[in-house]
Amino acid sequence: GDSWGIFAFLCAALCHLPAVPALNGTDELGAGQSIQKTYDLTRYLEHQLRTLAGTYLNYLGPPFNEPDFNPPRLARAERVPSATVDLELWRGLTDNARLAANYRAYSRLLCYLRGLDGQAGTAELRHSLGHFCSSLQGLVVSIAGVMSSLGYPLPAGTATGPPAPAGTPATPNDFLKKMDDFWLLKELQTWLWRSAKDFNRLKKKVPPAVVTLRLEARGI
Amino acid sequence: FPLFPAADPAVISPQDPTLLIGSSLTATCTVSAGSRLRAQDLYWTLNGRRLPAASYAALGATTLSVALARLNGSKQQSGDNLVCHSRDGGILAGSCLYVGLPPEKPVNISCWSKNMKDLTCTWAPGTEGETFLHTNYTLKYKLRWYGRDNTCQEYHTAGPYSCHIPKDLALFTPYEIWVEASNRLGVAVSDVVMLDILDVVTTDPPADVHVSRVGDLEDQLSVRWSSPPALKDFLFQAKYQIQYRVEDSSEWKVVDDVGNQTSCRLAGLRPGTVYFVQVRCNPFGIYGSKRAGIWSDWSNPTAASTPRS
Repeated sequence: GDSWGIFAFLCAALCHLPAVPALNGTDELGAGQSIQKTYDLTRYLEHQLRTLAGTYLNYLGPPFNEPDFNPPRLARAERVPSATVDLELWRGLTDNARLAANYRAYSRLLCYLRGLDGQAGTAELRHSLGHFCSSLQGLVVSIAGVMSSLGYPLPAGTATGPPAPAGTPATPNDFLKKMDDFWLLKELQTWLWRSAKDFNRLKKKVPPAVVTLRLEARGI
Repeated sequence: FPLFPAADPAVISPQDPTLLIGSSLTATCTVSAGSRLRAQDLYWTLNGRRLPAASYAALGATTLSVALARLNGSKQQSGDNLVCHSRDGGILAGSCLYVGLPPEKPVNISCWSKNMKDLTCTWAPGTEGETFLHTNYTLKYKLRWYGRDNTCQEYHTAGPYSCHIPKDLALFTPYEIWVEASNRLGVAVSDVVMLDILDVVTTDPPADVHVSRVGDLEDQLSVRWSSPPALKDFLFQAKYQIQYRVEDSSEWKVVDDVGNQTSCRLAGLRPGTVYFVQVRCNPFGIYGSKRAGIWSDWSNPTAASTPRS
């Protein structure tokens, strides 16, 4: 008799506890942290790239390191994923599509970056390039993590290197290579700048209620 | 930004040439067949600076040449940027000029083996140093009486002109070692250095350096250490050296005649003073040879103070 009463009382008391976050909720919290990390990494890379690009463009020499240098984008440089798209169009994409575009772009940018002249410049420059590539690899993995935690499938077929479009000669001349390098760095800068905004916006989409729920559960 | 069809808008000749400092060059820029541009619509820049029209010449309707005399060494190792522009400043084509000197013979090859396990060599570029071209260095080695050349793989381990050979080194037998320097203008080979690994052995600094007072004696300190463990199986007699200084001085006093003891007493010191002490080791007489090895680095400084008077 009394034990049931106590039991009922306990049940009632327990029922007034805020619910433990459902499994979905935990995933979203995981995604929130993932997005934050990716955002931080993007900002870090932006910062690194500023120094790296400056040094590399000095290595290429004038006019490549002049502030308003804007060379033509010849056919070869077209292979580098361009970051300049219609902003309205970009914002209109679903989160999935936008994340997938980021993932694909950075995978290819990483390939191109790794293909930069292995003998380029001083040992210091090569070392900075190597370090940047590792960090960029981390970004690709990080974006994959965000996509998976949000339940999105990873875009297929980006593991392979960039295919050379038909008709391009196997070895462009050294000056064309310099122009390619210039555009690679420029596009990388724009991608990182825009990705930071993308991840910042995505971060705000993670419902704050889930966060408070978890904190209250901890407080008991 | 302007986009061009698959064919390049213009062609420069020569494309990416390599030249000796002081040489002259005449380059031509030919606009491609479909272009409406003519020779008089073009101009040249070198490393961003416009070249004087006086040095131009039109060779036909669609080709403009430029004469460059007595070229200086390339401004950057990636090559000087010689660019053909259309009148509005747009870039039509470019060529990278590599102007420099052939490499000098590398000199001062110096090698050491850490605990007989490996070999690290350093060298210096030849006396001129600056060739304006990227120079590749390759360290090669072979056993003296056995034909095959080996190439060192791990570079920059001890500075920019260094290489490290981590394994597969024979003892008691001479090696021939040399460095090849190559750039776009040629190759230079250093003199061959001959050495036996056992002649250039160095070791880790002595371990467990302890400095303590000698009772109440105000002018003495006792230093004790252990011999480096890595060579204990190789029948060597270590030679040691101690250096010490007072805390606020940068002048080291060296004690040279420590022999192969692992302890030593410093005397004639100032009372009530803090001293820094370091010890280093020379693996003298490896496997019974009479030759000295190479001094190790100094141990980390150990501090102690003499009693006040």
